[in-house]
Amino acid sequence: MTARSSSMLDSVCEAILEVAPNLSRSDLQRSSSLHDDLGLDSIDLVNVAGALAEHTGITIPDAEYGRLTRVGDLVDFLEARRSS
Amino acid sequence: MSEIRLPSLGAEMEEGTLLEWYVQPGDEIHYGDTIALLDTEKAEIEMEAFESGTIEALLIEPGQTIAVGEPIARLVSAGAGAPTDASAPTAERPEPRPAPSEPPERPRPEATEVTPAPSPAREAPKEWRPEAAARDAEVAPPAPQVGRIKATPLARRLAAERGLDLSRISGSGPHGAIVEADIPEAGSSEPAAPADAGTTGASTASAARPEAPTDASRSERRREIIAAAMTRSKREIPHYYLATTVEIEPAIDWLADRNRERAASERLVLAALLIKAVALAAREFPELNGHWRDGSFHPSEAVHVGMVVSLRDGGLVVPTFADADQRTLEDTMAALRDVVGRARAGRLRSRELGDATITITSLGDDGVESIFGVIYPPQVAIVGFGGIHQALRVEGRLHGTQPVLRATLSADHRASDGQRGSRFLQSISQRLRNPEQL
Repeated sequence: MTARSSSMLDSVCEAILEVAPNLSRSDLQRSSSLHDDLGLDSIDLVNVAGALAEHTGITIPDAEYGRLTRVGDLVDFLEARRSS
Repeated sequence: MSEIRLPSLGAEMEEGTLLEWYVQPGDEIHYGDTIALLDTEKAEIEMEAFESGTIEALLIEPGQTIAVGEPIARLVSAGAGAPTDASAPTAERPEPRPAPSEPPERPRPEATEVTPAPSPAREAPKEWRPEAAARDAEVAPPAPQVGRIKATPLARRLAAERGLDLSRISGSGPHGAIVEADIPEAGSSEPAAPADAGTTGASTASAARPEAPTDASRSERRREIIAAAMTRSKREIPHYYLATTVEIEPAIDWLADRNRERAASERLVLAALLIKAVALAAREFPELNGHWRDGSFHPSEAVHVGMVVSLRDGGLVVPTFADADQRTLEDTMAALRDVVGRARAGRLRSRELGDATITITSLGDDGVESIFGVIYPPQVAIVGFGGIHQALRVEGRLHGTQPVLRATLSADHRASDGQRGSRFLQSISQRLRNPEQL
């Protein structure tokens, strides 16, 4: 993992913990399923996306939501968007 | 001079614990300001001011547990003169909430959107008052008591009216509390005894509790409340159940178009459409929107939609979206994001726990196809939504699949019949097929 993706992982984790303060940082792995492992539902995900847009300035298009099912998916998507 | 009283934040709430004051004597407050943090069995709740004025005195300390309707502070109302009657006996009158049309004085997203629910109370139909507090209005003024018997305010009133001794009645509610169903009908064989003045009316403050309950104990208590409410529902309400399949593709496509290129903060999710569709249908079918109380149905002119929110540590809360039929989808979505987030963080505000007139439950994110809810008394209907799934579609000789959603209705047969329930569901379905009209 590069320092940059580590930083993005931190941003994603920060956004998730903001929405789901009952979780702890150790719950959040790249492989964690947003719904099955972390219990986030569609409204939580909108709030996570809002927090990420605030933290990173990157907006996740509506069409991408269905594909971003794990913490790592979010990290990879945001990394790709930042690089493009 | 007026007194600020502990509001009822739901039909099952009997008492609350003050965790923190946000104000001090001398502070000027406005309607809608958060003035205290309360702990209830459901969650920590930020209590809002229902009246503007200046705090004259705080009557309870953090850690103290008191009954619904008890005074917690004295307020010099805005525009009033100096306090002259600090001990005025207003105990029998619960703290009223402003009329729904009265806007909060401090702008805040949900404070401007969520207007208080109108009361179904018979004596003041246009004035919102928390349900239990409204019932307390009919109870004798609070009296100190020793060895308090756990009983709901309604059970206490019924017992007093029927001349029954609460100490001789077994309770079936949480922690053995005596509930309405435990009170024998007048004229039954239950041994009657003059009601002890010490056991009628609301309780006075109980012993101070130094700390809020732990998450585990709150979760346990929450489970007991749910158990009691659902048991009562299944015992008292003759449910009937209906289901229909909704073509949800138009709504999905409309949402995709609507959300394209929009910022995350402006996105809509399907739940907002479901709330609005149910609210509009509820307005069209008043026999499904209201409360069953005292042996008859009381329809509500306003539509206040309760939304079941699952908590991450188990259990659920049901925040209310007041006047949901009159909100725009954008308003509904903003409130949904805010309220659901705070509900799960355990920080709901008092106005968000007003009495809903109909409830929605959805397990769409969890993959089930349909859910038949248990009606939340005293409401008379609950609408369930399952997850979106693909269903076979046949048109002439063409076969294909399309996304569909199962919508269900659990309704109280005392208040409505299956045909009307069926039309209600079809109304929801039709509205979801035409999302641009929501």
